[in-house]
Amino acid sequence: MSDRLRNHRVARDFDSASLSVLESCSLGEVTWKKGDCILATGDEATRCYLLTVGDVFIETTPPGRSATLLQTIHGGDVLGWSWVIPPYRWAFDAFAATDVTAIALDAAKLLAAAEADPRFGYTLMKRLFTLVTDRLQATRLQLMDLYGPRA
Amino acid sequence: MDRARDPAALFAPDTREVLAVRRETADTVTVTLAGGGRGFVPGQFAMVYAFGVGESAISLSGDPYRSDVVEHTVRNVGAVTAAIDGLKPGGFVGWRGPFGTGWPLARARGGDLVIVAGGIGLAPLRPVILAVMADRGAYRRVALLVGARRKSELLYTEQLTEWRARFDLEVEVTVDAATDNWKGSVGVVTRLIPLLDVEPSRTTAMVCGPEVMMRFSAKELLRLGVPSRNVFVSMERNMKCAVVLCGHCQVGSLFACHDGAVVPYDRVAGLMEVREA
Repeated sequence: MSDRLRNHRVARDFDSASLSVLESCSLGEVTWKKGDCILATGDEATRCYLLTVGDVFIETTPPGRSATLLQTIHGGDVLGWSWVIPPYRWAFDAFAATDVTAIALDAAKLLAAAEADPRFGYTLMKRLFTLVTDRLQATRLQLMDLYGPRA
Repeated sequence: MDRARDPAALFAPDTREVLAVRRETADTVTVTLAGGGRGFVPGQFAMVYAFGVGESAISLSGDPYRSDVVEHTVRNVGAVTAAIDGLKPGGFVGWRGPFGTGWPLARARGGDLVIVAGGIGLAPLRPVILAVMADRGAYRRVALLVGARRKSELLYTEQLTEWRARFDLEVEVTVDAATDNWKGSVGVVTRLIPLLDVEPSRTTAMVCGPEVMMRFSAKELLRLGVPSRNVFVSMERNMKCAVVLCGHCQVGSLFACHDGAVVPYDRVAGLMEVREA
């Protein structure tokens, strides 16, 4: 477990002290079968998942419409960051697109550790900010209709 | 006609019969033309002339080892490509080429190879894949990442299925919008790059697609640790003469028809950041 956590893309540039704090927040490995619901919109966001194997569909179901598949995230990605900011509720649904394995982190412990140890907190937030920025830029490209005809 | 001695001959097209037309998507066809590609290397293009309409630079998208036919995958985006889109077997086009630089297959040998294709950008890379498959032992890991707008706009779907079934080729396909009951990966193709299992310092990357996609792909490849000298992109511009005379395809100091279309990323990284009208 420890090796898997240390080698995860998210933790790769953590120093040993920050890694130890991260490890203390680990709830161990979790698995889902293809098709399982992992997160549901509106549910309390109590965990952060570091995906190690498999793909996850991020979906939403607008009222009166069928479920819309928005994005796929993969082994190496982070699933869920609604635990960082109020109201600490998942904003989208997530389903296992394949069999999935992840490391679960206790969100309350992570936040408490970040408050208590600003060095760890800053490292964690910088890493999360990088991931969110990557995801935002990818979403912007996705919205650009890149492959459409030139205007 | 001695093309080397007679510059005017560079502008005289061969007449090529259309042997087959295969519809790839609603606006894209692959045409098979009689006659070989004069030893083209993957990445090169030819000027295809729709009689009475005009000429357009189209990448060679077929098997580089076939000497009896050439293939071009053409998206209908203007008058010439609309005429090509409407061709039927038994029709004729003018053809001159091949022109431009090719993908650096020789350089990639012995290392890992990453091929990133977006939309119609898969067409100029298809000869690379076919060449690599014919000589698979010469490369270590080979990964093909394909992005498209939606499922109905994916090219070469039958061949993609065959390639995905191979154990010696990693193929990942992603679409921007999950329409048509798509149950595969959703998101831009650049998101797949950080997940690659390659040895970055021994990796050669070949990227073709819209320029924004190539720019972000190159950045992800560099972040992964692939040396910039090992990243190659295809700079496509409106080409008229294809023989470095007219200047239509000039980008900075580079003539896309002669110095490209395939160029090392570090040569054009700055140019790709320049806003063009």
